[in-house]
Amino acid sequence: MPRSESLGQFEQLVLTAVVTLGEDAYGVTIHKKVQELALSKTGTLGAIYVTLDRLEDKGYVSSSLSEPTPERGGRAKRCYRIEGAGERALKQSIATARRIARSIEPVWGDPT
Amino acid sequence: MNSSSAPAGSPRWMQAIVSAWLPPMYREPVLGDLEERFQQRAPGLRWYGYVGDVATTVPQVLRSQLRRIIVRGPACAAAAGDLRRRAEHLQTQVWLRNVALLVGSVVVIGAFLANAQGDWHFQETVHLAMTIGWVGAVWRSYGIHGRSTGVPASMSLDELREFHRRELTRQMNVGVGQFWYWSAPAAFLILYAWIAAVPDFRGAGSLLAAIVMQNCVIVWASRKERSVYQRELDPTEQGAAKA
Repeated sequence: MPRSESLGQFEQLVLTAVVTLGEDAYGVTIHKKVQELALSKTGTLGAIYVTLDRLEDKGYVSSSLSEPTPERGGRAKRCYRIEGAGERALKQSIATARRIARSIEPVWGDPT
Repeated sequence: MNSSSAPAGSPRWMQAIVSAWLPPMYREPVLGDLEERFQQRAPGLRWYGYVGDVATTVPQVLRSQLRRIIVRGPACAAAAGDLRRRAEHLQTQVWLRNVALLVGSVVVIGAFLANAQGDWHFQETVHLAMTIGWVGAVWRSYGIHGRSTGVPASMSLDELREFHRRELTRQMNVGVGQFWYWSAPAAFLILYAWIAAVPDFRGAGSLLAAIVMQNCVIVWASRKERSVYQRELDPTEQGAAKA
């Protein structure tokens, strides 16, 4: 059973990438999306795999192999999709981030 | 695999090296991702990019796989009835055994060569026994049982069951008869050491005893590995038969 624990920032980025990419969420596309979301060259492809493994172990995402394609040298993709527990954890993280933003705004103004 | 219609990609020898270091369940998707990134780069940057990707990806994948093995335990921790995941886990165990033997062999042979150059001074008999034992073990793993293979993505349930029975059992299976096959390279090395490399070598008796002990340990460990695997396989097959 997945444990209830908060997501790290990188996990949030990876989960968001999985959600927004939909059926096309696999290593390379998730890596690109994470870099877009983070506005930097943060995280290597290896770090994406490690995070996806961890999220899969927690039951936040599940994976399956797709059909092989020629542009990948005839190899299959491991496609990821978000599970119910992952969706709840991500929503919780978003709600927390919003509360932080609302709390800090009177002191700092708009933090972005 | 449709390699004939695939555009020119990264060299096959490079893929083979990377593949050997990747756990079987990661080979297909990770090599595919590396290949895709290779082809997306400008021609002049492909090699650097590929090597950089390999250098940053493979260690991370290894770390993650080791963490999974430690945290999730052996294959029996996989979900009941999930034949594919179970097959991947068992293949990972075969891979781990092969990698451990290969790394151990490189270290022992390196130490043996350093000793021969006079850098270290360990007892000759012990070193030779260790080297021969490791070479025999690696030869056994790769030559007789074969390297771990990825579990093909398109297998049906029946094919997966057949894969379990045939391929994985073959890779785990060890019989006493194979003891003699393992000892063959060791015997040749002893003869070489005795006749050519170390003419005044006196430790042949203790060396032979050490090799016999070493091979006995390998036989015992492999049979143990086989019986554990069989215990895991039986309920899986029963579950699949009921399904």
